[in-house]
Amino acid sequence: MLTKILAVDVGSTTTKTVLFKRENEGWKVVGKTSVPTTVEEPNLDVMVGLRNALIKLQERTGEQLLDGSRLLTATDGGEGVDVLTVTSSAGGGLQMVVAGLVKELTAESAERAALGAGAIVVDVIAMDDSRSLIEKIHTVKRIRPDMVLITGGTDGGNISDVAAIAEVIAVASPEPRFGKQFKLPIIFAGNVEARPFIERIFQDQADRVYLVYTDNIRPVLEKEVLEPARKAIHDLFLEHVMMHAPGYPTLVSWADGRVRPTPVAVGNGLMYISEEQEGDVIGVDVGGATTDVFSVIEGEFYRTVSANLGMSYSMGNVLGEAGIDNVMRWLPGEWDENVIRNWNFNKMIRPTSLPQTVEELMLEQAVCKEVLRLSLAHHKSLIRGLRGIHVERTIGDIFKQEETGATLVDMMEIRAIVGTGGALSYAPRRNQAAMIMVDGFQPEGITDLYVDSQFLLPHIGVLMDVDRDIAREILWGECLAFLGTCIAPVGPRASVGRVITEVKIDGEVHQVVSGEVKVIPTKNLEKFSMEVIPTRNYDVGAGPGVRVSKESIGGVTGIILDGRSRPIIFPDVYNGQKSVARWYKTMGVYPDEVLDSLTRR
Amino acid sequence: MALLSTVKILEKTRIEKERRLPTPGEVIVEVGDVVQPDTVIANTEFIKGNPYVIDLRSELKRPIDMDLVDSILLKKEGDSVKAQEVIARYQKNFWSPIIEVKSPCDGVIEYISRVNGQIVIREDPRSAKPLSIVAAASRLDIPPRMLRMFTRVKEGDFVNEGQIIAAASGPTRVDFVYAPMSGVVEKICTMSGTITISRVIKHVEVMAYLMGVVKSIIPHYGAVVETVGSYIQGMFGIGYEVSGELMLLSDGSDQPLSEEGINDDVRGKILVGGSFASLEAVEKAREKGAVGLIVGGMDQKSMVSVLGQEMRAGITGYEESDLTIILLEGFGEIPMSQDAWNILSKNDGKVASINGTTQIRAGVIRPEIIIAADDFDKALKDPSIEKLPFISKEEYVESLPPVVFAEVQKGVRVRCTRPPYFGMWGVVEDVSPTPEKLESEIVTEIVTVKLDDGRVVKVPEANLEVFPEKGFD
Repeated sequence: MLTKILAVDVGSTTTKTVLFKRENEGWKVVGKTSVPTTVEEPNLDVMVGLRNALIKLQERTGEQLLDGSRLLTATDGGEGVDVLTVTSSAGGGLQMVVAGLVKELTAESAERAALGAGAIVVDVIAMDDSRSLIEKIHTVKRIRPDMVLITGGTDGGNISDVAAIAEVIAVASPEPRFGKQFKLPIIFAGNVEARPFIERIFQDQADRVYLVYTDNIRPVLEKEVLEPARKAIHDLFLEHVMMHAPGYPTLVSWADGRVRPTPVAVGNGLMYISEEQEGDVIGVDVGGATTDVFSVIEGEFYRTVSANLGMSYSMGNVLGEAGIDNVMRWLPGEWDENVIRNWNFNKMIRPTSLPQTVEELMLEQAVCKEVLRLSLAHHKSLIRGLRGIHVERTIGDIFKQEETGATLVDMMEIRAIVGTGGALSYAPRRNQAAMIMVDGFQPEGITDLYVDSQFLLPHIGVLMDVDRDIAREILWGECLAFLGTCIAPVGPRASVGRVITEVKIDGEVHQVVSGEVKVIPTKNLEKFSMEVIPTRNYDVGAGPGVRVSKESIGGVTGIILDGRSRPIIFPDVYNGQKSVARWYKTMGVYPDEVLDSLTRR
Repeated sequence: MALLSTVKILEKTRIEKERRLPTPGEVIVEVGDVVQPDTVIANTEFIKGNPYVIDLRSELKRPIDMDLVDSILLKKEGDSVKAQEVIARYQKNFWSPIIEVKSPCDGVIEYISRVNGQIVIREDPRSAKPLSIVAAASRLDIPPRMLRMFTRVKEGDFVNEGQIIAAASGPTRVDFVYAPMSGVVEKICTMSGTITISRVIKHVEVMAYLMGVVKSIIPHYGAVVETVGSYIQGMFGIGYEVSGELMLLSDGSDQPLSEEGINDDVRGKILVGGSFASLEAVEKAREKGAVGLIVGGMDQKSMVSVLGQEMRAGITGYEESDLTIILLEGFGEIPMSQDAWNILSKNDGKVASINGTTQIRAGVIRPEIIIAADDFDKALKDPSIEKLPFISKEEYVESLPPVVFAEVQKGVRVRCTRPPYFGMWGVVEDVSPTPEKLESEIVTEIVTVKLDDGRVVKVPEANLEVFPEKGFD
């Protein structure tokens, strides 16, 4: 029987360890540490940081984990750990170049495959992108990818252009990040009949390139098959890329191969949550430089990386992308624009600092809302139905006016949102994390909100492959904090104060009021019955005016009744800024006295 | 953990910089030459060699496959070629004439597509002609008088290298004519069947940037220049390399830049303020012709006003800014570090070279200030130079991670990096053994600091900056 599991996450900046132990009341987190990652100079060995972290973990927990520099395992007479799991995004993660024939068809599918496998897509090359052949070659030469994915042509279709795009990669002959001794993995996931030509194109580079074939990502235009390419990327990541990163071979041997790119592990965890929720889910990891958005839509996993949106290094860019007005709309009272701009850029150049005052925390969380909004928009733009396919339409389809290539992300169908990253997981009040997710993502209908309170979701994802029951227990017991349920009816704009929906909770009636947000406190994890009755023209998930009943449980925040319409309108009753203060007071997001002093100035 | 400041502030150091053209040209200096910031190190008349595209399908007038390409090629990628040198030879059978494909220019074979039968030769700009006359009608096998029916450009059009300028499609083939270089279509001649393109000539120079001595030559491209002097890095900047006399316009490191002091005398100069430069002062400096500004801090909004647009992700330095600005400490009003102030005030009136280029991560690049010593050429010959710190040409992009942590201890001098004590200096009195709650309700490690103004305050350790040269009080 397993009793001790050690989970390690090697990030770009920090290496984190978590020790899980089976105790009488179940699996618990007994200790955590965080130290700087040592994959870059002067250490150039990830194991230096990991051993530092484990020494600290030993001190904190009293558990013997190391014997000198060796990890103690279950075979060491009762000491040590039973299982080690590792997730990694160090060294910037897996950096890939993808290439396809047509930008909005096969190249886009290749990008989705790479993102879903946890990669950072550094560039997307397509025959029809605006760059000349020479520019494409020079671009690929400059990038030093860890891996390349080439696709194009349906099976039995175009060969010559597919071979031409492969030739661009071959001629560019990119030097991998890990140096000349590393064979660059190149995955071909295009027209199977083009394989002999691909072989021929790369035959002179056998000493520099490791060519792998996998199923066509678009075997026919109407179908996208991403999983074989994702699996190939993942396997090559472990076998090739990680084994060349400094210190990683030791780490992989410690973990007995149980190593995943962090985003893949998060995706694993989200897939499970989606199964439990019996519906679509969205996850978000707000990082310092980038923000990952994940979704599980009808059982398919998707991921996008908003490379320049984050809460530290990318702060300056968030201001540029969102616009100062969109940040200021979330702040109560009057604020000096200079203060916001200076603070934003000072955080960018000193990214590890923390908000000491409530005002600074408000500012930081206002920016976080814009990060969520922008990254969700980016996610929706990439995760869409296949383009270029013939779709038979019924009369109903014509009236719905959906086009091929429309986003697959329907906020009304999202059953749950899971947030992680410092700004959400470590928000001083859980209500703040709830408010950030509701304001940033603007969920529709009935949506459960969770936060990964201890950055455990990646570890859960790997544990799912070790022992599903243990993973499940830790997920619901230690990892996810259930914040509550957001009920946001969608319908025509109504005058402020009008009742647009009623919510019955164990017989007691509450009202969703246009222009207002309310919270109904609940006892954490206590079960109750809920009936949501929208007025005519308002939809909470089953259609306009159709009521929805469900069994639910209480969350830390409670049930959020959000009547602010979608997108959120800032009513100018008492002027727009004071409405924001009222919403924050109702939600208990910030101390009342601070809100009062801000709205008085 | 607190932040360890890795910004370099060095009173005397040896500095070298690589000064390089983007394309081969002529190097004008020699080893040992003493140079000024505006000394031309090298120059060239061309932006870069343009590619000529040879289409084997068009040359051989037949379809192409990979085997055929391999069998007729006499050169490979990376080979240098001369104008008119044969690069491919084809003979259909014993009785057929031999078709020789010749290079149209001196250059290097950059790319061979075996799939499409295209060869791209990067022209050596030193042998490039100002005009290129393309025998388009002959290439397309059409009568010259019909050329205009097949051209895709007209006189006066600007064409890019590799762009299709004429094409003819038939039942069995498509022939293309590519522009051999970027330039302007001067003439489409229906008598000779030619298209004439004239090259856009641009004079490109690379300057020395700093006062120093030429250490070594990079043949055809430039030189390495070295000097001895002061070197200061900042936290953020905009604008590229400029040089000029330093002009102090503050009374101290904690005093703002004086707007009254900005007059016609600032033309061509690099202004030095203390803690802050207002937008009005910056606008006046621009109007009066200053070329640079060094200050502790400035409002981000003022910087956006100078740039004329919001700042986005990536590397700065390439903006069209007529004023290079270096913030030594951050945004808002924040006193300049005393060490930096001492160096700058000591060198008031001396020539400095500054560069505002900044990259926050993925290869940290900091804005820099270089002030050559009066006796730099003598100092470079002194054997004791080996003992000086050395800023090598490779150190432009730093190898350190963007954030380095440090533990604080009692007695260490620190600076606060966030409100409400932003920019204030103090000494550590106590380090809390357990995390405590802040006003923001965040629980974190706390340090008790006695500020220079006498107040004793509690600050998150993460909001403190430690400086390696500072000793204990």
